[in-house]
Amino acid sequence: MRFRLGSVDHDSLELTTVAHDEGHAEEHGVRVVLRGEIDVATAPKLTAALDELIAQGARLVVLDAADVEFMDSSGLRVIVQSGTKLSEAGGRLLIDGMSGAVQRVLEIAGMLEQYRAT
Amino acid sequence: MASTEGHNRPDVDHEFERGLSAPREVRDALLKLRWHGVPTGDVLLVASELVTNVVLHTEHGGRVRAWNGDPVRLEVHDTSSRPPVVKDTQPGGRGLRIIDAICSSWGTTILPTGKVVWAEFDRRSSDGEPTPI
Repeated sequence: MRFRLGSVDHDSLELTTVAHDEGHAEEHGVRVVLRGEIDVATAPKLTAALDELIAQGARLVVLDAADVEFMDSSGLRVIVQSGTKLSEAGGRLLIDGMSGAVQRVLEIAGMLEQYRAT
Repeated sequence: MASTEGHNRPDVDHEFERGLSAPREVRDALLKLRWHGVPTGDVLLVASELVTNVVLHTEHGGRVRAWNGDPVRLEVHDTSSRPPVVKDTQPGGRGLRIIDAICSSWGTTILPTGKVVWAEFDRRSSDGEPTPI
């Protein structure tokens, strides 16, 4: 695998990079599996991890958020800010796999279609 | 901290210290109840936004009070008399928009000792229609 975070543990959010599945087997692409809760306490960890991947040259970042039990606007901010950084670098942030909690917040913010992978 | 008149004893009454773990702590307290006619996820989301605002924009902790009635009502008391601001560019601005979208009504009561931001949820049945009582 080209990009590496290892596994970043936090009290209530766990991030793991995995090899892309066939649908996203593009160069400069990386898939990040999130598990837990994204709020004001854990959002900085996610920002730091995404910054690290962008610094390593990742341009298509796919977040797997199927196991995110909770997300509030702190998570939304990370998605918007990291999404903007990637866009400015000619890349893209997508979310493939959404828990109900993640979908609800993106829907309210009117950003569901912008970030949904399929 | 000032109590709000006109309401019965709250079903949840939880004081929190100012700290990044406060929103999670409050969500855990609210999870202990089965909320009537309102998605639990929505109650947790609104509470998390309000408590996050206290943590980011005030000097001290606060207190969450919640009533599992009709409507479901949340109050977050803090020690700052500055009302919350809805601005996308500020931390918390997106949070208030979320509250605005979910809650049937919400508002701020300024008190001599700080403020109360309150939010109410209309009860709904599972298909999204208001539940007849």
